[in-house]
Amino acid sequence: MEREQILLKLRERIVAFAASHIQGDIAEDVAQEVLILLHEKYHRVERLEELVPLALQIARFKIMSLRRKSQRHGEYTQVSVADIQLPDPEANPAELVERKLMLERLTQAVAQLGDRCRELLRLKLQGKNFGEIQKRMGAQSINTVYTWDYRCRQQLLDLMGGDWEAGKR
Amino acid sequence: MSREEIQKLLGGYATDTLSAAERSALFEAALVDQELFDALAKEQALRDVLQDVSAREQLIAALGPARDPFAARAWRWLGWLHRPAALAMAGGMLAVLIGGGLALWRTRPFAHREVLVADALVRQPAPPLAAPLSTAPPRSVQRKLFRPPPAREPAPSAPLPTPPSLPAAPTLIATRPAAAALPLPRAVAGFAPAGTAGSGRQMIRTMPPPMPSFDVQIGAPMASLKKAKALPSAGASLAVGYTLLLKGADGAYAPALAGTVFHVGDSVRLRVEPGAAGYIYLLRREETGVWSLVEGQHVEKAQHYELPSIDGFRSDVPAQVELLLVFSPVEQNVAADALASSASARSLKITLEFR
Repeated sequence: MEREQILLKLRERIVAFAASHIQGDIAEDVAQEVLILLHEKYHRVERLEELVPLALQIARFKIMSLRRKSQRHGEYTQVSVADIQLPDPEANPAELVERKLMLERLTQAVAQLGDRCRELLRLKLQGKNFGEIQKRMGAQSINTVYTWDYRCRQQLLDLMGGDWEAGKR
Repeated sequence: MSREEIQKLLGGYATDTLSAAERSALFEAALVDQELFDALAKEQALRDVLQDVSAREQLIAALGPARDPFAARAWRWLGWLHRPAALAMAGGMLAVLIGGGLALWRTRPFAHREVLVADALVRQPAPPLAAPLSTAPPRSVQRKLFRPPPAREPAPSAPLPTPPSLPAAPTLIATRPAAAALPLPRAVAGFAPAGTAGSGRQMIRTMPPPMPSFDVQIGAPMASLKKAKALPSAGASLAVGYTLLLKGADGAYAPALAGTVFHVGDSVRLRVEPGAAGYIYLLRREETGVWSLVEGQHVEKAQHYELPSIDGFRSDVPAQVELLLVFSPVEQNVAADALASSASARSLKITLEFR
């Protein structure tokens, strides 16, 4: 799939996703700003496996920034693409706090998982792929590992209130 | 991959667990599936957190010590079965178990059958002396009953001494006393075919000439039986079978069971079945030592006769009653003592012991 085709599809998906979180016209703007950033700053990134995560990350930061600004009495109506720094977790104190809170919630939640889920998550955090996890856990097929992971992810998500980020529901 | 399978890859996005192929499949599907794209976008928050190495280490620490899941432990435990030697050993043990189980299964019914037979024997009363061998008990019991136990196995007794020569029958006739000495009319009057024909015969005693008399001890029936069976046959015409009858509470005489001990006050009779037509004389030894005639009568072959025909032998004190059963093909008109002394070859001595 060509880069242009990937970006076109990404735009459609980002607009729809952003529209479910913010106003429709602003969602269009968010998608446009994501594409501009990919075009200007990450024009060397062409592969699908890199473009999609990058677009998702930019879109998320964009939406979070819009929320923060709207919470400051609508002082800002749009976010400058130039304000988004990738990756720069330390640049934004608010982002840093949100990550810290999320990590605390995660820490409490994972402790409540069952043995299998804890072991599965441990292997994932250690960088093992599903094939390696299948061997380590003695699963008969990799589909079994997919199923285990899907259920464990759902269980962890439920333990965290249905969303990874606090205050989204 | 199906849509459902691709959705299961979502969990690998945040932790960057997906392989290149899995990642391509997930992203390509997300580009055309808004729901999947939204889910993927929500995972981005977690992915951002887990990009931090320190955050990963914190979560790994929160997960606690590593512990193999059950499936992995079970799989590793069963892993030894994949080895040929272990597999052969397991197969051998399984074969032994199956073989042992089959052996137990085959032997168990036989052991159970022995118990059933034993029960049948216990419940079955010991066959009386007069119990007919021709009675037909249930097949299972009959089979066991006809398997003589060691105690009943007739063992050949010591060879009996050669009996002295008997005076010939004409001698008996020649010495016949007056008719008054043997009240034959009484004996004839006592002729009474047994109403229980066929039920009283238990054993056939032969009285071959010459033959010494022998005692029948009711208290020791087995020894008597052994001795009786050891007797040589002397031809059907001289065979006499008898059975001891004991008067019951209902007043009827019934064959006494083997091992029966006669007590004071019991009434005993003899049921006689001659092997030939002739005359039967029953003598009793008195306290003075002389023989007296109890009853004498004409008998037919294979008929049953109860002696004495009136009442029975009884004693009011512990005592032994000696009887002499004499068979003659012809009528004897001699005194009882003379009959006893002259007809020993054709007589059978019976001792009843009342305790």
